[in-house]
Amino acid sequence: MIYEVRIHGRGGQGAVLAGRLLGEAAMNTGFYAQSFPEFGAERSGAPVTAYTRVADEPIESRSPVRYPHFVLSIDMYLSVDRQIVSGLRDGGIIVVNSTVQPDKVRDVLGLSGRDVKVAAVDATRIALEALGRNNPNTTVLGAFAAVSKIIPVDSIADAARRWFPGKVGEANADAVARGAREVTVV
Amino acid sequence: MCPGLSHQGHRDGQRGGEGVVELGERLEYKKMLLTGDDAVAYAVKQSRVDLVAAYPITPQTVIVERIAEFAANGEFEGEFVPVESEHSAMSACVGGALTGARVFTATASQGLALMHEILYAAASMRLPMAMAVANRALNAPLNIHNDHSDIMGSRDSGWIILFSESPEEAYDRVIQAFKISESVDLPVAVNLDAFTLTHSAEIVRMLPDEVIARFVGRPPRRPTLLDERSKSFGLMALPDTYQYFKDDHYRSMEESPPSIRRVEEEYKGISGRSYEPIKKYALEDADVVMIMLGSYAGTARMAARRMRSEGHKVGVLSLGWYRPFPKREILDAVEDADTLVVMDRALSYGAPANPLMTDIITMLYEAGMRKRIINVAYGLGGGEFTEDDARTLLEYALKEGPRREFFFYYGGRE
Repeated sequence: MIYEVRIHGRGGQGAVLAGRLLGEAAMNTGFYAQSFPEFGAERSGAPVTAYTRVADEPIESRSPVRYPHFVLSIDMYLSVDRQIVSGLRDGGIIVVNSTVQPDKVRDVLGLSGRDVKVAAVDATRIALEALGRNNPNTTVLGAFAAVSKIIPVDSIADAARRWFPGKVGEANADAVARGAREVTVV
Repeated sequence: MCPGLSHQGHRDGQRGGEGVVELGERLEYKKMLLTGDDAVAYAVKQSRVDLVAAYPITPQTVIVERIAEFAANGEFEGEFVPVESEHSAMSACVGGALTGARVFTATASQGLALMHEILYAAASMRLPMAMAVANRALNAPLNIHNDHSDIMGSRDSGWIILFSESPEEAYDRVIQAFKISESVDLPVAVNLDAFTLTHSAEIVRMLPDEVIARFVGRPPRRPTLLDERSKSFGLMALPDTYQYFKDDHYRSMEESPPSIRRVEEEYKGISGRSYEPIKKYALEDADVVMIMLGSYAGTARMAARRMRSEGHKVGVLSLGWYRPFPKREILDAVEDADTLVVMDRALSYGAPANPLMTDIITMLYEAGMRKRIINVAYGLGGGEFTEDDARTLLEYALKEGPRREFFFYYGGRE
């Protein structure tokens, strides 16, 4: 089995790091993992895409993910952009950073009638409370882990702790846990 | 900071290992999620390198940054020389190698082009060294993404040229490169594709420091600038002697395969990982074989795997060695195929064919094999190539068509 994940965000929010942490957590859970950004001219505020593959066999493809099983949106405004669901597979899941209820998000993204789960978490607020800054990446990862049940929430929190040693790591681990607790799904 | 950097691992510190590795010792490794650039930097740190001289250029930059960090932290035992250009980087490597030191550099694209004249000096002075090339397109237009124009421009400089398909392969091939170059007195270039390998994080099974230290040992003694009786190197050779040097260099390349194979086999002994001149996927009864260099070989194998499950007789062959060119291995592998799809990520303007195509077609002609061959220029300047793209090309090749064909393939996006 292989799961392909596509992450949308804006430069500076940590979309690329989210992909990397997901890869680290997958590796530490015993999966094969691969994580890379869509390479372009990265700049603060510009839309950024990152990819992570998680598999129980060696990963051969090194091409960008075009048909994701899972889509994550780190950025509130990208969360209502229909382009982010392009190629999303049936049976897949989309997790968005949004203050809006997931059934409404489903409508906005044009997913009514599609066999996909839609999950929403108010990640910007949680990140501001837990980290004191607008990096909603770890919160969205926590929400994703809780909804997808492939990689344990604790593994994501551990990956965040290892990446950011000390207090910042603990704060991010807290954001992961809160994302997992506060996410709502339809 | 990359969490990998906090890993101190098993510090070695001692010198004077014999470079002899007993097969069958217990295999140990540490799994890390590393980009290709990180993996190369670790390989250099572990290979008891005496001198790194390098100039940063995207997408090789991280290799140089990591080695500089290792040097600053005292984790890298050799000298790190930040130079002002790639021409100087290669010149410093030549000087270092002439003192008997183990040397390494890394570059890409315009940087490799700037090194060009010294590449020939390094190879023809028969200096062992390893270089990582983070394959990137050449100007113009300006482009930082992946293709193979850079290394193809240096193809005839007399270096051994190897390709990797994953960060772990880049790590393994760089470690092997030191030992190969020291056993055949030729420099070795290890290629890793820009971004798809240099900046993509994958699991690398990193071997313990002491295992690598023992594997690479110390460079064998050779005449150096520091010898008690002074020597000169790289002097002028007039027409009466110049050709003998070239003949000797040429023959060393021709005779290098057994030495390279020996290093690959020894490496398998310490790592459990097999390296061969070519990688074969589903070739036995294949009607169509796609021939690839570099990181998209895996993508092609994914497409071939799916098509095999639907009953199509397709296979993929990728080259681990480019120079010396593994003729025998490729011929054996494609002997029964009807159609070859030769995938070039570099152009040779005005030539009878593009670089890989030229090699393949010459090899077939020499062996008296006639086949339908489709030459495809793809992935230039980072052009996208997905499983769907590989499938499109393989399906096209399964149908009847002209014996010779060349076209540009632009991939998923128009």
